[in-house]
Amino acid sequence: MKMNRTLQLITLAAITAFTSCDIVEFPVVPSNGTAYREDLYGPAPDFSPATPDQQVKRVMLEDFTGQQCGYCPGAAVVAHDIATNNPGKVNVLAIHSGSLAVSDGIHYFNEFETDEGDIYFGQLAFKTNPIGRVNRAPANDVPLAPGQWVAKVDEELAIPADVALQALASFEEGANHVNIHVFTELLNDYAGQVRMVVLITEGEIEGAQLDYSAVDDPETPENEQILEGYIFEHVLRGSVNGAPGVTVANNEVAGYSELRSYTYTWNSTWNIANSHILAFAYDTETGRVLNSIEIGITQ
Amino acid sequence: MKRRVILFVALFSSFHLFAQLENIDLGHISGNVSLLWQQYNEDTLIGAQVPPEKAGFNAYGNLIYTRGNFSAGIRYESYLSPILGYPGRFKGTGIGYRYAQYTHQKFEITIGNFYDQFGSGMIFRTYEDRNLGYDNAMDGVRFIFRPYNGITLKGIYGHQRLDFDSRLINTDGIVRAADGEIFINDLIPALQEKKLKTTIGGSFVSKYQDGDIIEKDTLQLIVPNNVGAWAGRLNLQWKGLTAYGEYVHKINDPSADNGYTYRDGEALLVQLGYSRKGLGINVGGKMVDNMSYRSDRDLLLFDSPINYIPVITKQHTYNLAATLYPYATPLTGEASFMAEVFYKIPWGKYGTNVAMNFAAANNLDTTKYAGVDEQIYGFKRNSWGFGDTKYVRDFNVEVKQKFSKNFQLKLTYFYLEFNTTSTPVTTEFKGIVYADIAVAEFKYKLAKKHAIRGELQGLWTKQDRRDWATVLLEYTFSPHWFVSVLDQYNYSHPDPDRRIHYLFGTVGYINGSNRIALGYGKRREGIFCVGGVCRAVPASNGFEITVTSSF
Repeated sequence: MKMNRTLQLITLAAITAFTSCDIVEFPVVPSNGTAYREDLYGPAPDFSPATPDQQVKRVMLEDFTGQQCGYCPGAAVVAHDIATNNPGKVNVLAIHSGSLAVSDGIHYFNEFETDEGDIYFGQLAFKTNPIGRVNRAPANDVPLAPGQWVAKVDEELAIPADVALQALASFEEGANHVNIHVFTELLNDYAGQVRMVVLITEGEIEGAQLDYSAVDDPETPENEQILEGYIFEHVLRGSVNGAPGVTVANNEVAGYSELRSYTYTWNSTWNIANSHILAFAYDTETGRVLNSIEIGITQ
Repeated sequence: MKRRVILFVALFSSFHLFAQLENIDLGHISGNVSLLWQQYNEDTLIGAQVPPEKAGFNAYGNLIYTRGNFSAGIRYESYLSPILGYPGRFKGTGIGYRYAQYTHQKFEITIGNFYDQFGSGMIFRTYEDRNLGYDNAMDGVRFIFRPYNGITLKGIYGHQRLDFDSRLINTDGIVRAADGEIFINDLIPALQEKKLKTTIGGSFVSKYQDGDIIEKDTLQLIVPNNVGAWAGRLNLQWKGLTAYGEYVHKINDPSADNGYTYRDGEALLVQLGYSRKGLGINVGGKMVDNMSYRSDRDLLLFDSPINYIPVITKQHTYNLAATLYPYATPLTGEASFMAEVFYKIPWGKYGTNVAMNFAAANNLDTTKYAGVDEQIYGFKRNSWGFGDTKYVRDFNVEVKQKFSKNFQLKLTYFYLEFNTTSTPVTTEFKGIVYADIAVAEFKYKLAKKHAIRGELQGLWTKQDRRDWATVLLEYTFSPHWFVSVLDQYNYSHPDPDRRIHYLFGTVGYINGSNRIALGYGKRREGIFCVGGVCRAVPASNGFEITVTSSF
């Protein structure tokens, strides 16, 4: 009887203890989004460890571009060709940032600039358009000219993946929510901190783009070099969990995994059928991208 | 005739009733009163300001009723207006503390206000220090249960005192706390006579404060509404040896004190002691990391701390050492160490008492994070040891010699290295102050009922306001009268115009438990500390009356 009473007291104390601590694993509120709404959509799905096919290395190619950048369409072609030549292994991200990315309200009306894009552009030691990064290698702040992209992509693809990413994204039309789940798994022991970023991209957006290659004669007035029906691809629209993302591993061993789930309120001006979720994992200290994945949004 | 009979019966009944009442325990009432009145004159030399009221008045009166296992009490407070240096928002007059307590067999219940402490206080301590204007009393319910001999369980639920405006004002935060302590030797009869005495204890404290999101630069951060902390402690005694250890852990608690960062807090306190007749040795170490813990995350200074971080340095009482460079544990944390030895040299008729004390504290051994992590977590701690920034070094040695039944002399030397950046006790110098302090104190009994006590103090430093001297003379005519004169002189201040004498005289009368004193003079601006908790006191010039009484 006495033991029962003691047990009751201990149980009461334990209940008090466990209900009186709000341990916040990572306190940053996802930008433009919210935490996963388990109350609406049930528990997040389970992910299994990556199969050999899912352990594939993918390279993220960031193309810093602008609608008033006359040489940028050429860079976009380079990026497109790289992706085509390496099917499923290159994720292109078109970041419209810099003075040539703005809308002038006369010829160029698309509002493609984002806070996240400006943060990434601000990381570059030399800011111009077009310019790019391939897996943010050799360093976060080193920009690469389009002519360097092919070789760098090949070099990065040859490096085995330290991290595997799996992702799911589905659109809940009634609530205008997109539920996103990203499963990050370490394939090797990793000394350092790994962060994971979830971005939204949209393609097939029609608009005006300055293109110096559109007319051969350099004397042609500039407004005749504007391609009115230009199709923009891989446009960065925003982030789900902030430009720096969230920490998913910190000096962990192979096999360690983290699932991050989000419920994102969709911007209805974006065409969901043409949009993708691009997630990537990177080393916090060096900025190097360890792997990336791009998926469509199930409707 | 009938009226006479009725009158007789009524009178008889009354006498009978009084006789019965005399046999009933009606309980008793005790209490005390203290008053402090200060009058202010303008004194541009010392920067003394005169508030609109030209005077400050603080008064407190405790009334406690006790009957058997029941007690209840109130504290009546007046701040009309508060004396300078007190929390300025304290105002009005009314009841600031009230409670009722009942003990029955193994249970003790308190409702209303109460003070309590778990272990060393690093996880939970509520207390009052009237001289500082410090009061973080709980206002709620405390339940103490002693199920078996040697076991004490406590549960606490309530708000904390924050303010006073003719009534008690609490914080919105809710504090929940539980503590258990087991004295093994009482619990296990076979160990009762053993020389090894063992006490173990554990605590859990949680605070609730409503909150949602805080913004920090470009980040929006989720605020934990419930912040928990737990602690474990062990106390061992074996003959003359004692050992005490306590560890406290607190989960993410973004607050104004830590710049709204999310690192967990930790504290470790270890104390070892040895004593025998004529000799005492104590050593201790303490590491405190991000252990500011308040029931309101946005408050600072004295407002609603749940816990208390003991200070590693000796609490000095001599004027210069105690008020110019008093050390208080920085709320961000410290690593510290202390050692002290007491020894009585057995020579002569009275012997000589020698006490040596050394304390050292540095910042924590940390590495600052970069980028977003710096905003969220600030830094990471690399070890339990010292960082490279010195906070304080305090060495002092005291020699006390009684020469006769009428004369006693005490000599004390202090060496201080004090970081005024981490403990901002002065606005005139930022950096390390290196100071030597010497004090000679004597007590001399002139004749029956007549005694004189004096202090000569000197502080020498090349930093801050440079050198100081203090003279105190106190004459007592027992049992009723005393008079004292204190002069503090900053005789080598870099600015010759500020080489000021702070002269203050007091005359007082004592009658049993009643005491009244009248003072007049200049009061230096400075930091007034008790037990590592400090408040800034502005300079003032004027009269002062203090009255204390108890019954």
